[in-house]
Amino acid sequence: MQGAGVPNDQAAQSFGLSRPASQQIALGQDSESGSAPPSGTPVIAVSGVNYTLNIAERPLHILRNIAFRVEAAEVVAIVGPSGSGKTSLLMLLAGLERANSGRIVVAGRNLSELSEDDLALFRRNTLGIVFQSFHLIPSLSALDNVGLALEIASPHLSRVQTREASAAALTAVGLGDRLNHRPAALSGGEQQRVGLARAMIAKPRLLLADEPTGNLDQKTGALVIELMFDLARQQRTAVVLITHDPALATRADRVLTMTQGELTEAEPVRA
Amino acid sequence: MRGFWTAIRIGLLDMRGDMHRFGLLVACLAVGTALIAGVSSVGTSIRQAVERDAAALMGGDLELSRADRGATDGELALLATFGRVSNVIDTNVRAEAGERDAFVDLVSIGETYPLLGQIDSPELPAGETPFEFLSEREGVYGALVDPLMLDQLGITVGDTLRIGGTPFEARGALRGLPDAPVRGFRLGLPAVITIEALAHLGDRTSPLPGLGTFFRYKLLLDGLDAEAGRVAVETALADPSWTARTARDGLGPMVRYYDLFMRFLVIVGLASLLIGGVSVWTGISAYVAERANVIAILRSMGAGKARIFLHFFSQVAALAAIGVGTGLLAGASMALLALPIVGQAVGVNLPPTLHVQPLLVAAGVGLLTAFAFSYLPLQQAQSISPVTLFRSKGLAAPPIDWRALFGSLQIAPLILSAAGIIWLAVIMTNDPMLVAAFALVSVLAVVLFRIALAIASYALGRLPEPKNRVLRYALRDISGSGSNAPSVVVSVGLALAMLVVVLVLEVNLRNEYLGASVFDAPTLVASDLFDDEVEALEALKNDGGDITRFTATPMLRGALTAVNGTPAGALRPRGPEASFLLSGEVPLTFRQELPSTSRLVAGQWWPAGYQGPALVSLHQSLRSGLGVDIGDQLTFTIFGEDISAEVANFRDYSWQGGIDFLATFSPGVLEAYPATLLGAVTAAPGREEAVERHLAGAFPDVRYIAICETLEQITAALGQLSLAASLVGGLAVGNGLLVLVGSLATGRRQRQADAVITKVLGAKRIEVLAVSVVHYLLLAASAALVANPLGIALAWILTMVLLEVDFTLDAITLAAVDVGAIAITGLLGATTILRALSPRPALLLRELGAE
Repeated sequence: MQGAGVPNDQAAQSFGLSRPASQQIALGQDSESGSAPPSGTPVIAVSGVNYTLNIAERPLHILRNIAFRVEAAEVVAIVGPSGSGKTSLLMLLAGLERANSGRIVVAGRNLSELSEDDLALFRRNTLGIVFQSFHLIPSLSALDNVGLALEIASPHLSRVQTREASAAALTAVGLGDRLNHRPAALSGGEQQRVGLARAMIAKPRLLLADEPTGNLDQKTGALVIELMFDLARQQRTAVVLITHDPALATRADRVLTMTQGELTEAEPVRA
Repeated sequence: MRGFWTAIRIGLLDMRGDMHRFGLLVACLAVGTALIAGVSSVGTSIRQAVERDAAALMGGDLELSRADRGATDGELALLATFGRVSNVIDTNVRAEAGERDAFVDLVSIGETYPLLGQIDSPELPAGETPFEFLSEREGVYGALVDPLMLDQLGITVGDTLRIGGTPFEARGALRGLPDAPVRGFRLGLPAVITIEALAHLGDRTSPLPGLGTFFRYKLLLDGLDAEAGRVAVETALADPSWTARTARDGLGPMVRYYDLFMRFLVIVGLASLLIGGVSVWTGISAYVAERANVIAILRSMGAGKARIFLHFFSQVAALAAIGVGTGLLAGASMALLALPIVGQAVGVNLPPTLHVQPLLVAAGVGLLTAFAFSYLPLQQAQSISPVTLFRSKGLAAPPIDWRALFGSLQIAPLILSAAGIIWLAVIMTNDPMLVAAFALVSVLAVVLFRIALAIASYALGRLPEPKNRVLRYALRDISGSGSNAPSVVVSVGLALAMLVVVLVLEVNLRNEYLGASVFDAPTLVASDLFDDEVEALEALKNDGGDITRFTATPMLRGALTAVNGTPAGALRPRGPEASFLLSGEVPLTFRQELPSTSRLVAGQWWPAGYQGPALVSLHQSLRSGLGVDIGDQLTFTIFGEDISAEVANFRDYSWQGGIDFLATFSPGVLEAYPATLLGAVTAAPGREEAVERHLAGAFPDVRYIAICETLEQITAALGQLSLAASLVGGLAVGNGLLVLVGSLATGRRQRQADAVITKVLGAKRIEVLAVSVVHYLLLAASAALVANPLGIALAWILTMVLLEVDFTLDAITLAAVDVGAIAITGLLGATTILRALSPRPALLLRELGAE
């Protein structure tokens, strides 16, 4: 018997995978996504990236000579003080900002070569994002919030297919009995789980998480993180996690430290 | 395709929690569409009715008339070559039966009258022409008499009455003339006799100075349409003294007033369209700004710009469908209700019918307006970046990148929809120049508001900060980045400018109606009074009884014999007034002062106490009718003596035609000649009959003509139009105020956030509220500063060019609307932050934090 709000491992394992191969929904494999990179190619390959903003006509160096790689299914935590450039790096990885120099390749796509429309395609087919403030659409139910992401990524799916997959995703994060609730009727932890289901529904190759537990209590945050890591590993999704929580960071495969726009790699915390 | 429908479904789902906020937008669209649908439907009905029934309304395809003489045999023969001809002579005489009398609108008909339709009289036998029916029998001619006149004279059908001193048998009751619509309003009750009988009238003199005899010839053309026939007949007659009218021209002066009303409605429709558009713009802009968060979320999930556009476009389309659909229903209902009433006023049968084309035009205009005015906010929506999800609360949409917009195909839908609106507006108004001018002025208005705003912002930034804290904060709010000032000023300004236009036009139109309908028309008029009778009437008035006013005007007869030395016989008069003035002896008068019921059109009235060379004031129609201007010399023969007078001015007295004089002399010229007096008695309201009875007893030798009733008919009809203009104007004003309220939604969330933070920092509620009130008052006052001159200028152009009526400004009404609009903006603007001022703003803080 599964209690309300408690994630079901079995369900999590079947998240989008419970159907026979012939009925598999091509989540995240939209024809527009371009060719998948060959096996062994890192999901993220960043080299020599500089990011500067002009504030009051004076250059402000946000990121300096950033270089790192993230492999498939790898979880990388980025830590550092506020204002060190963590979120800016996340935005560069999401293709929301453009670096002044250097090279950012995500899932085989050089982001600097992509147009605005290509970046939109890239995000829908490659990325999932989890925000600190959840950012659910308040007028939509949990089911529609999750379904929306799948529908954008895979517009060829029928409404029934989308609903089924969304319901499965929500069940996987323990919200099977909250499908038709709107965000205002959900607790913070529940909202973040909806956000997680939404981010993962299209089976992204990369999950970007910006302080995903920042608005949650320790217990709820741990639960959400557990889910996130489980789902990422099942789907072989790479995760870049920004956090201020040292305990959370230690659960990542690697920890990168951002200090005044410069990224350094700490000792591996996991084998 | 599935993705397309899913995007629409999600868009509509996303809107469901926000439906309440779109009430104003939907209402504005509905009002604009309803006005356009209603006006176009009524206009189409009238146009079709006139086109369909033109000949029947006129009693022929063409009518030729003149006031000085009937057609000669040669002219009649010439007219007969164009088709069938019937003739009518209109004049005003007195009728009597025993001790009672009546003032008659006498219609004398020829053998072939009517060419089309039938005289409505129960006694007129089928198969017998009216001419035959009214012919002489046993030495007495017959007359068809209005039932009211039968009552007034105390007779019934079969009895005898005297018309113009000649006995007639009342052979039937006259219920209606087939060409009544083109006869317009006439003084007196109608009666029909034959032209033969008219020749036997003992006294054909009109009892009133301005009423002449009109010789009318109806022509049913063979093989020519009315307009071509008019040109051909005028060319063949080669005499400008003839006035030729088609049915459209002939529908009487009411049509002009109705035309004015329709033009006014068209302007109101266009203004409402613009106002509705502004409402869409402000509403959607505010919505998009507040939904920036949702847009960013969609973008973060990889939604492309097209998807964002579709998401919000589906919402706009749904709102537009609701607003336009409601407007169409309301407009069609208004048209169905109004058609019979308008038809009655114009004298055309207008059954309640719906026309598809005007409704389609209204729907098209409404939908295109919704699209065009939401297009830029929808463009803004597309440029919202998901970055806001990481960096800010996403309370504002980024500014429009005009350069990029104009440099790409993205501008094409906007241009196409604007072109579509203009095209539909041209179909609606049938006046491309008006539409072009309106569009140009609207664009100009936006540019002007922007420039004024830029200047104001520049100036505000350089002014020393006021010491008053509330004022200082309010000014800072206005000039600060992310301010809602541009949006509020432009939308409030545009709405206010349109209100000014509608109000000024409405007042001018009402003045035209009310001025024309002479509310101060006398109850009774009596001609040929002697001095002692005038003194007695003056005394009666001074007794303070039921007579509230009495005026006596000298009246004598004279003939115009030359203009600038050219003999009258050599002149070619144009129009009925000029023909009447040249028809022989006509009533003349002299006056010290301009009568209150006249107004000067050109020149100057002579100064008080003037005793210089003879001057004459002419009705404005004589300027072109006689081809004279100020300073020209007219020579009259009065009691055998030639008197020359210089034309000093032209004046208008419109509906008072029956009781005013075409030519009025300055003092000191005609006093020496014997004159009778024309008296005008005004009774206290509701005491008309008592006054009439009293005067009949007190002055048995004086014959009065009750004209108030006829003028009241005119007044009532014009009053209806005036009321309708006020109602429509009021509706437009209401619509404009809705937009004012709607525009305040712009930046609401940002201001709430500012207010709640200010409060949390320790500001008093009253201070926060005061800053908001002053903020909006300043914005509305700034908008009014530009909107008033702009609106007045546009109204002036439209008044002079489109309506062609006098331009006046009702400063009090304008000021009231300005003050009202500014106050509403200030007060309602302040209410937008009320939530933030609640004792516990925690919920709002939480909501803001969650966005």
